[in-house]
Amino acid sequence: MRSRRLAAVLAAGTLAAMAGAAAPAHAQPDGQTTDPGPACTPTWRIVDAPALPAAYSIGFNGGTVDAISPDNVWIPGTLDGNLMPGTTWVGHWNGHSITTEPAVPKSPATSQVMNGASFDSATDGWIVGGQYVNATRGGLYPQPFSAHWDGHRWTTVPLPPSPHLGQTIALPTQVAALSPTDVWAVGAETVGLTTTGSLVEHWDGSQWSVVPNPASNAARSILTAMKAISASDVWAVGRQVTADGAIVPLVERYDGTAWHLVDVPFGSPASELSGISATGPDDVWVVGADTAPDSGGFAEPLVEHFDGTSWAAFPDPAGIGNVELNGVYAATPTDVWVTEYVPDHTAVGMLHYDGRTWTQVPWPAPAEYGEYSWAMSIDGTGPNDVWALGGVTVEPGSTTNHTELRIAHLTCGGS
Amino acid sequence: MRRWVLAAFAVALSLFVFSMPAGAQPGKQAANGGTPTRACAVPAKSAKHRAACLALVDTDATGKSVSGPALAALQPFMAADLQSAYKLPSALLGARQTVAIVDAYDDPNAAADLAAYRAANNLPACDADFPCFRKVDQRGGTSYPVADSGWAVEESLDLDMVSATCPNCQIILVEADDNSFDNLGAAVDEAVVLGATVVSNSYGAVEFNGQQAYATHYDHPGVAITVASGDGAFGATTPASLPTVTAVGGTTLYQDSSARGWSELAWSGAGSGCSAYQAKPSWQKDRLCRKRTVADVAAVADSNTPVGVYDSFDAPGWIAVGGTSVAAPIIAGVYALAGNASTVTPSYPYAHSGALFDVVGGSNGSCGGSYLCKAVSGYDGPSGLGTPNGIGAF
Repeated sequence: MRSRRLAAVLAAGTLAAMAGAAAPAHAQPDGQTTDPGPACTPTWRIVDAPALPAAYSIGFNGGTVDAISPDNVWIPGTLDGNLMPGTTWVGHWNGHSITTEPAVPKSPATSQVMNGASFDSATDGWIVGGQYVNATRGGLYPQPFSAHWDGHRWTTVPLPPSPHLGQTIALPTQVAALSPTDVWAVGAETVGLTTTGSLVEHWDGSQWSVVPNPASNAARSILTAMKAISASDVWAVGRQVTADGAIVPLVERYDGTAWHLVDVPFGSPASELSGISATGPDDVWVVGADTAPDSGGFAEPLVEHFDGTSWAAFPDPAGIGNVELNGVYAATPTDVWVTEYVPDHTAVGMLHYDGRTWTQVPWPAPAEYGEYSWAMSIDGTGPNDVWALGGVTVEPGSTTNHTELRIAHLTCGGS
Repeated sequence: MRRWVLAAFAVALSLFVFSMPAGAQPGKQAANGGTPTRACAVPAKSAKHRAACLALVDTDATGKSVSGPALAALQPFMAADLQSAYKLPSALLGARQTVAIVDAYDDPNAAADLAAYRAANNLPACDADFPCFRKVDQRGGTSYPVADSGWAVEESLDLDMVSATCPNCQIILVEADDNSFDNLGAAVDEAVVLGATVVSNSYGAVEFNGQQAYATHYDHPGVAITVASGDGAFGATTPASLPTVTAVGGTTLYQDSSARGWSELAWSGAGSGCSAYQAKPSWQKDRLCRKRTVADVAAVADSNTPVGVYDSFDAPGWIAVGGTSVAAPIIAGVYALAGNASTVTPSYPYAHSGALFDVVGGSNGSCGGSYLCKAVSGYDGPSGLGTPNGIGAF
């Protein structure tokens, strides 16, 4: 399957052709305030981040960076601790520093898990996820929740029940806010903790509703990342499982009327997609991982690109071997950044595409020997304003195990 | 059955409460369950090559073990609960299997406390008719090491969990002279000499350069060796990372209305990750560890969903305990129920993962969101391949 599908794609053109050499010099990412920036060579640097509360510092998960403008960047996630039920944590870059904003309210005994977040302005944002009560009897499956940011505080908003009968739970994993009256969420429907199909929900300004999607009955399918280019062009990616049990990418697209399956190339299963970005309808990037041939199961990076007509897939475009790709941000068609999962937790890495080649870019912080480093989400407002959310697990496995954020900023230095 | 056992537990609990010495004060009830507290002292960083036990005791605001009504409010799991959650044919199997428990220091009350647990759970007594328990030092004799109340919690926990899952098994408690890997390893060797078919180890340390020197103690073909994955959240520990053992991660287990009647999430404190030192065994096919990946399988470990344990050595009797120290002896008991230990290797669960409950939610730390610290469909670090669904994976 790999050779058949990829051969057809590779015959269609090279990486350079894929990105379009004639792309406008300052193509703007859709739906965001673009900072074309002064003529400069931006550099990566680590921005001071607040220390995470000690009681919760075992884990920082589900983290997302969502850049609205150069002085309005949101960095929410979930804090986990051995002693305390999980809670949301919301960081915010105001142009000068990262501050801690209010968390989503919850009862003391409830554990919250943030799965996704999206903001369309300083006064309109959403967090989605699940919450549960930790108890031997009567403990709960993760129940879905959504919360709305109005510029001052979070308010939880009910999500709709699953349209399917039984114990099905509609659990969102990501959200994309276009406007106060146009917000999409994707995820999975589950019976208990077993995924029974993919989920798409929509907020129209007054309520959430479940929207039909073509993988809603595809067992073990899930949508985990999304990009809203416009009100009539929304993408969601994740994974699905074939009849013979192979994990392969799942891509769906909303055309303004309905959601449709999109057939994309992929490499050797297991192959799934974790991130998506776009500068417009003819420049969509998705990243994830497939399985390196003859490797015994090790992952290799996977980049795919849609030029408005067809898809091209590029396993391990930089020749870096055993890595999974996590987040992607396309500033322009010839300026694309990707975050990596590096094996053995030994380092943090990023990939950059300049329109011709992919290269590995070192993380802008010294290696921290003996700690586990990682990076997850990446976003930006233009070529000179890119944010990558990373961190380190300090003294992993020990009684003093804790997490410190390492948030990287690509900038000309003015901020 | 569960109702009966709970009733028995409640009776035993009330007997304890009403038989307390006049001067004893019941523990102050914690406001929100118990606070997990390590039973054993964690060796100082300067104390090289030593292990900590991995039992977490639910304690109250004063640091005392939660007991009495506060303990009952936690509704800790008893033997019937564990057998139900993991679909174990415990009453039918396990004869002629010997499970050894290796711990450090002495628990002077081990036999009496085990008897109390088994009686409260309607498990066959270890008596003259069924001499199912003995305690030895690391040389197989009775020159027991000095007593330690922290490790006594661990020993009581291990004995109770093996009893809960495999009540028909023979149990040998092998007490190492201390918590050094030299002596703990020697105790494992002695357990094998004494005929153990399964050896349970609920202790560990953060991986260190030189840990390979102890690997031979945990390499006994024909004997299933289970090791707790650690309570320090994301990060690999030893001896769990040795490729010759079954590394046992942890879950949050709760009773619900699902078809199974139970659900599980990865426990936030379970150890997991890539070993820095141990070669990758051929049967592990995960995607982002070039060396050995921890864990292999899992069982309940969250001290918020604790198990009930009876420990009277400097302890109030019934206590609530969590940690992957719970999970390792549970899996040891399941190996014994399956009865295949003499012929299987740690690869066996990988070839029989269909007989495990896949754990697909929860995480145990920060790793950027990959499977190494987040439970996902299929293999993941904190829960491995999953938790027992009967004995078929062992």
